Amino acid sequence: MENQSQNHNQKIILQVSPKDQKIAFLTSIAIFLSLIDAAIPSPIPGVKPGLANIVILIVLQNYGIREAIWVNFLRVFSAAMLFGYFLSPSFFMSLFGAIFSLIGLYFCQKLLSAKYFGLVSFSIISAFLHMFGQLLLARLWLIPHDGVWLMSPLLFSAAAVFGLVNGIIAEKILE
Amino acid sequence: MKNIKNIKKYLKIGDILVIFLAVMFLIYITFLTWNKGKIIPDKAVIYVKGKVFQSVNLYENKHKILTLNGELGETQIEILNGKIRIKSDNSNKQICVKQGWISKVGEIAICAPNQISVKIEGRSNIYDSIVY
Repeated sequence: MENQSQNHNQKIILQVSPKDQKIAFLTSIAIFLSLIDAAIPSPIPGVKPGLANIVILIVLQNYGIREAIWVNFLRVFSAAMLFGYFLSPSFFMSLFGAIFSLIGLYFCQKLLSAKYFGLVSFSIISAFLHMFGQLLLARLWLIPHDGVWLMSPLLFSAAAVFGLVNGIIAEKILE
Repeated sequence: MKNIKNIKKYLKIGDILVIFLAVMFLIYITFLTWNKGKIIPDKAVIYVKGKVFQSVNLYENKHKILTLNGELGETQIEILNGKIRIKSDNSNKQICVKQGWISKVGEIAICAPNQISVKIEGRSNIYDSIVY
């Protein structure tokens, strides 16, 4: 965003570039998808389809990792404030998942050549890291007992499935 | 079948590799976390008066009977096919004898009056409970 001082009356006009507008629009879609996510019942608490990640992948593909990070964090904070779980354990779980999955996406983009690896790979890898980040936070803070790792097979299976599905959806949207 | 053909359109060769590796990883962690005390050979520890008396390997001999002296007298412990039980003791209620065979990690047979107990311990522990 650019500031332009008009005159000595210190009138500042903030100019929003078209790219900013597109990103804001995509962020709002991501927030909306978070809402749908939360509305879908799941047999295992904490396992969600992660639909907002579809948007993250699209932003990564079209704009780059910086924008993807922006959208993801904006989404995490906004959704938490909108839906009333800001600073609650859910928020931190969401945040940790986002941090870990973004780290994964960063390295995926650097190391995996686009010729062989599509968004599906990115999605699965980031889904796994997302789940791992959340398990780690749960182990360190919420459930300080090694029993949390017992949930791994179920949780990572869900991450694999939803990662695959989200990746395919993202690819389909972008074709 | 048509649906699968449609989906393949969106997968590149690297994606297939990642999916394969993901499945391998899932199998690996399933074995790592859900396989405690079953395939790993167990040992049973015999406690007399609260102290470790002897540690026996459940798979060493097919069939073995141990005789020890508890508070109430002679107590027999039998090991057969990877299971162990207190075969006989001199208690009135025979609670530990009636318990019968134990074989899973964490299971315990306790002879309170005799002050003898047998506990199965494995190389790794099954978690007692998970509170969600």
